[in-house]
Amino acid sequence: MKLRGKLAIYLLIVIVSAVLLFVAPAVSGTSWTNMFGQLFAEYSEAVEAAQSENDDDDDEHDDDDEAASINMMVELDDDAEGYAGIETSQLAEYHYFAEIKAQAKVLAVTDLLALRSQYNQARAALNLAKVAELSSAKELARLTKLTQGTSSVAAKKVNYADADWREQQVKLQGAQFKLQDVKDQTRQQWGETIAKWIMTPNSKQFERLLSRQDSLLFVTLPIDHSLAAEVSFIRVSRNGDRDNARKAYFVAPAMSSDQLIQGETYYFRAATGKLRTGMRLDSWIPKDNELLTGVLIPDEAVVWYAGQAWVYVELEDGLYQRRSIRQGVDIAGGMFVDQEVAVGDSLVLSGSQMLLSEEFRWQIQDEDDD
Amino acid sequence: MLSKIVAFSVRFRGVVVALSLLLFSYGLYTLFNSSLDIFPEFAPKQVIIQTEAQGLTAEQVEILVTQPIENALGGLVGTESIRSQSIPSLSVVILTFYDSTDIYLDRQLVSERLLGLSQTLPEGVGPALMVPLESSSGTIMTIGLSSDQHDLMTLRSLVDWTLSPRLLSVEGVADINVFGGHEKQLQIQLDSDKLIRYGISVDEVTQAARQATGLIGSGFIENKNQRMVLKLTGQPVTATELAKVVLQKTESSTLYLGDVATVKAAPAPTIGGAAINTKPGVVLMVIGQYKANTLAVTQGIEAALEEFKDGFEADGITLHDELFRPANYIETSLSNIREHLMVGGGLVMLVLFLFLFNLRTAIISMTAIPLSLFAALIVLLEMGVNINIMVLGGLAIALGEVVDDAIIDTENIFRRLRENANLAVPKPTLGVVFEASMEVRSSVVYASFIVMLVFVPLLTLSGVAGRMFEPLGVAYILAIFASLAVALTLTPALCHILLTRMGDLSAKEPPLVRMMKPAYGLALRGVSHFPKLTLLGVLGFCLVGVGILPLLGGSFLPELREGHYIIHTASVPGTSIEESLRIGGQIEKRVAEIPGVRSTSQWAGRAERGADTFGTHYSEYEIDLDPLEGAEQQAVLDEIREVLAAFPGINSEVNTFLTERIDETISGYTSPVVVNIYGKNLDELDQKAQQVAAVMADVEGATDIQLRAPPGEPQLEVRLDLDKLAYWGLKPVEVMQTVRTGFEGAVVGQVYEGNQVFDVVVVLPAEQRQKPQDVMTLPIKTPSGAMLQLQDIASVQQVSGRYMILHAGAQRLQTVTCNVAGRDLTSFFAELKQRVHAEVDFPANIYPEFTGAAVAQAQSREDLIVHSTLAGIAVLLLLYMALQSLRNMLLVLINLPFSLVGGVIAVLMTGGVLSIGSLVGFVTLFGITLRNAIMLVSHYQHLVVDEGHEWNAETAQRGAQERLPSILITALVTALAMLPIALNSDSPGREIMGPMASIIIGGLISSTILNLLVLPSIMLRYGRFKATANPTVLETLRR
Repeated sequence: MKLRGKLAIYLLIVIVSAVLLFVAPAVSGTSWTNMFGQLFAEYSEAVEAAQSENDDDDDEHDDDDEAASINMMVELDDDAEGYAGIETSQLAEYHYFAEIKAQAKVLAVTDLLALRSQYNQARAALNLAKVAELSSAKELARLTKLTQGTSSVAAKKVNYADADWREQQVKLQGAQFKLQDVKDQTRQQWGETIAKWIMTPNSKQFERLLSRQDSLLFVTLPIDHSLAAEVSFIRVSRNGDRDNARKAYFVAPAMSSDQLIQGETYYFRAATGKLRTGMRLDSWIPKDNELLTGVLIPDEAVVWYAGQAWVYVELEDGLYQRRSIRQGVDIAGGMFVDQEVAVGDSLVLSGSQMLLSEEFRWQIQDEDDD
Repeated sequence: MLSKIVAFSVRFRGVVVALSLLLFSYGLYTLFNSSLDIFPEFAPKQVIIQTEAQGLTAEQVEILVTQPIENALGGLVGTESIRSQSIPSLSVVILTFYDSTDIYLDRQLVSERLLGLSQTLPEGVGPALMVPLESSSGTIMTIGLSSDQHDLMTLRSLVDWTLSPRLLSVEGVADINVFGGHEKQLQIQLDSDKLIRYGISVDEVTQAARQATGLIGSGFIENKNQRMVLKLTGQPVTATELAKVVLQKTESSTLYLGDVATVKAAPAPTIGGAAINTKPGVVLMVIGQYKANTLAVTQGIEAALEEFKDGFEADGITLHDELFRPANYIETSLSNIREHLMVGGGLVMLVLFLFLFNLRTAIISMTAIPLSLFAALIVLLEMGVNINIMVLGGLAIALGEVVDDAIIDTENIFRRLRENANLAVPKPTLGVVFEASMEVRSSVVYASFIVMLVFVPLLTLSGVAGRMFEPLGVAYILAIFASLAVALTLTPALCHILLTRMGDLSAKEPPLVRMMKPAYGLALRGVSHFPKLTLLGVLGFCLVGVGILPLLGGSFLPELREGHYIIHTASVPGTSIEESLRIGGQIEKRVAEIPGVRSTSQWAGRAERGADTFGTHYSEYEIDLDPLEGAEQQAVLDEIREVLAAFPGINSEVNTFLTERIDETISGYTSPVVVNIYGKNLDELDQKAQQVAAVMADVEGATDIQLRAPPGEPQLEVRLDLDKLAYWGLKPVEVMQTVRTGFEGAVVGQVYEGNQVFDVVVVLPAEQRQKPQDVMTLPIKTPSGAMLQLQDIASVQQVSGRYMILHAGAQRLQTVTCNVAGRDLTSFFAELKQRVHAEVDFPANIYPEFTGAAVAQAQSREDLIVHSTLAGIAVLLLLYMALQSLRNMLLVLINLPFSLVGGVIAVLMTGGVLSIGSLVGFVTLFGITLRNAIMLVSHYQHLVVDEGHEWNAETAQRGAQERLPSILITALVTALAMLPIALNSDSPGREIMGPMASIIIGGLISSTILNLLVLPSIMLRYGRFKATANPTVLETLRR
């Protein structure tokens, strides 16, 4: 290419550069330095925003287990609040006896009757033996006296009488042993209290059992549970209906265990009503006799996170706080809680999971990105 | 050879016309009998295997299900990659095969490998099923059922046993994905308290129920005369009958199933839910078969639905048959394209008539349009390509061009005939027509080949872009090729038939041309006085255009106006279906209030064999719009986005259906930087991934760092105490089986109601499957008969587990992704690699892989550059052959930046976003521009070489003036053919072609102006034409 051609090209480059440097800024209304400056500023801002976002995420993550308790707040603006459809309810006072659910069985009283019969027989036999022994002793004394005073009785007779007395003594002892055996057996099988009922003539309690006014219940607690000392009555129901369960009164610890459930066993008595021998019942045993006051958290309000149960409480319009109810007791219809959440708190009934999702939004993956 | 073809056509013009008529008729016939679809099959060749593993956690699914499947499928011929996801209750293995393989053969191979697998999967899992082979666009229709009078179980049974089987029988339907409703089961709902009370184990109930509901053949009796099949009846089939099955019999009493359980029809545990216009319902997604014709299948479905309508109405069931109907978009698009073809065709006719001022020449030129398009269509259909929007797009952008060759030919023949008529002794018309046709032949042939060649790199695009745009490129190339054939055969034949018999051929030029020529000559002379200044000015102008180019935004596809949107929302993993539906109800309510929204529906979770395999925390919504214009649809979209942005607790995305499908098809993460960490131990992988993420965060430019598949799924961990199990004499599997039966259910048999079959399942009642406490109190019976609760032998704790475990190449992996801002990817990758290797200590069994969309794109870009370079060299060679001069060839290339400037301005005016369609627009534009430049320069060559004129200002002006009509006509015709699309590009069917059309029009305006005004000056200043230039070669070529 000739020189003038080259010159033209150089000139062209210069002109184009000039156009780029001067015309473009003129058209866009800003200088190149400003444009670069603005671009750099925007970039820095974006990087900072991204980093702070990541930092926030990390922090949140780290703090999960230390219970983010410092914060655990979710704030929704007016729009979000309107969209979320969150329903809340003022918590009312709730009274609660801590209870455990257990199995009970209506016992037959035939065994008790048999024992009572044995006991009575043994007692009669003992009385009989006592009379016989007394009679023998008297006979011996009479013969001995005659022998010593008049010698009108043959020694042989005295010896017979003595032998008879001794025999009666042994028999008496045997009857006593027998009676003691029955008593021991009764105590062994039914415990001191019921044994007393059996062995006490005209025992009112025993009579009520016999007349089927009362039924004797055999209650088996779940494994690893004990009956609190102060518990005097429990509630039982044939059909699992706690609300209509009737009272059963403590009788005594049972001596035997249930083959099905290997927990502690107790006897209770309850008015017979519609109970029939052999029936299996549900029973509710108070953990103690103390009436607790707190609130009832409905199941739908509870969310699980980090190994424990939580609820959200609305502190003010659009501001929600997550609170742990790990100490709560699972009861029918929800959880009884007497810590962390108080009467009058505005509990989130519907939308808890959404609030959890909002709080941990950083965990939501873009599913379509795979 | 070409001269022989032209000579043959002129000589046997009747035959050529007859053949053309035949082609035209056959084209019409095939057009009306062809299938129509939205997009070509853009999905890669994939076989997806889904295995249901109800009740298993992601870890269990991975080890027990995914791993055996991956092992069984390893090493299949043609496999490009094997990936998998293990999520709770589902294993998904995705095999991607090379595009060159046959998908049916691929499925056959997979199917053979799966056959032997059933024995190795755990009991109750599977079977491993191949998802039906479906079309890329997938959904043919979404419909729904809702009712105020029937419960969700009745609706679901109706769908499962009546509606779905009918719809599945429609030709072209691959599958029906059913969301929501309650799947009916006959449930034996255990009463934990009663089990404890009576000392009955869960397993005893299961055994008793199994023995009551099993159905086995009974054989037959046969004697010398007859054979009679034994039929055993009277088995319990109703809840009441089943409740009477004996569970335990003692001397004094009998215990029945009904004593320890409630037997009743109840819903199965669900994997998904659905709502229609905020009311619970059942949503059905009709999936089309691979290569099925969307319109035909839609019509088939609608005919089938028509059969049900009256019955449903009478029964109080509402059928929502237009929740989503992709065919609407096809129909609207086709109508729009049809309108475009009509208007475009009319404009072309008008221009031709105005410029040629002769109806016959206009008709001759016009014949090229239907013939070229039909020829291309016939070839495509014979190749097995369905007509779709991309094919129509290719034909639409070819519309203005296919007529060009014919115009050039006709215009030249007409001009020569006029000149001949003005001669004192006119030559025979046969010779004049032949000579005139041969005169422009070189420019026509070379220009057409160049126009086709520039499109070739587009055919070599990889991935979805390649599969999407290949039919467009092929259609375009075929149409151009056909137009060349028409210009060489029919045009001269028709010219001879129609033009030689005209009365007043000696008439003057057409009035418009006559008026324009002096004005043009004046302008040309003016410009020619300042050649350097003009050149410099123009080059500066071009550089501005090139400078703007990098500032333009980019997107894969423009916003499609399908009249329908799909919303995705995801909450934190572990969100229940009920809550997802509640949130969805709120979203639906708000979205339904937006003017223009016609219907809304939602599904949460997933469906069996569904393409989307997400958990219950995930929802999709179908938002169908009233018929709206593009801008109105955009307004609705903006409002939907506003609603979603304000919504708490969810991440959301809104797309049109097709954009959605394309996104889903692009496999792997779409982040530019992806670090895959492979290994065996998941905890170690998590730990290393976190370390890599920390290093990544420290590398300058990294943004949006995300650790994929992090632990986050809430799980209730039941940890068995082996000492306690040993004390009670229990075996771990017994306990696990009891837990599974209680909470997942154990299928013990089936019962029949008419043609409907329902599972009989032993399970806890739904209200006892809600709280951790319910798990703790599950009754367990020891071998000695003691009744325990699960908490007596195991600890139960809520933990955070993995929601998803990913595999690639059958290896576990954890992935860290990020975007890069403010620096180039290459240096970012280099620094990241170096720092990760230096700062993270990888043991021998863990290794990282640095990849990402950027790596894949770089590879694609490299391929494209190589192919474009090859095509570019071929174009240059053709140009050289056409122009016979290296200098002239380089000067002609100046037209490219000319056209680029116009194209860039058009992009700026239409939103400033470059898409793949824009790329196609530029490619087309370059082809057309080069064609116009060749026409001018080759005419100069003709004047100097063939007619012996001296190369000077006068010749330059004359040549330009003579070429003015054909250049102007071809440019105008092409531009006007595009105009209807460009003017209303934001409407259905025109979204992809719109940007192309704008660029072509913009580029044509700038390049034609510069071609007509500047190129002659440049050619005059720098061009060289020698009268002796290679006459032998030219002669040889002509022959």
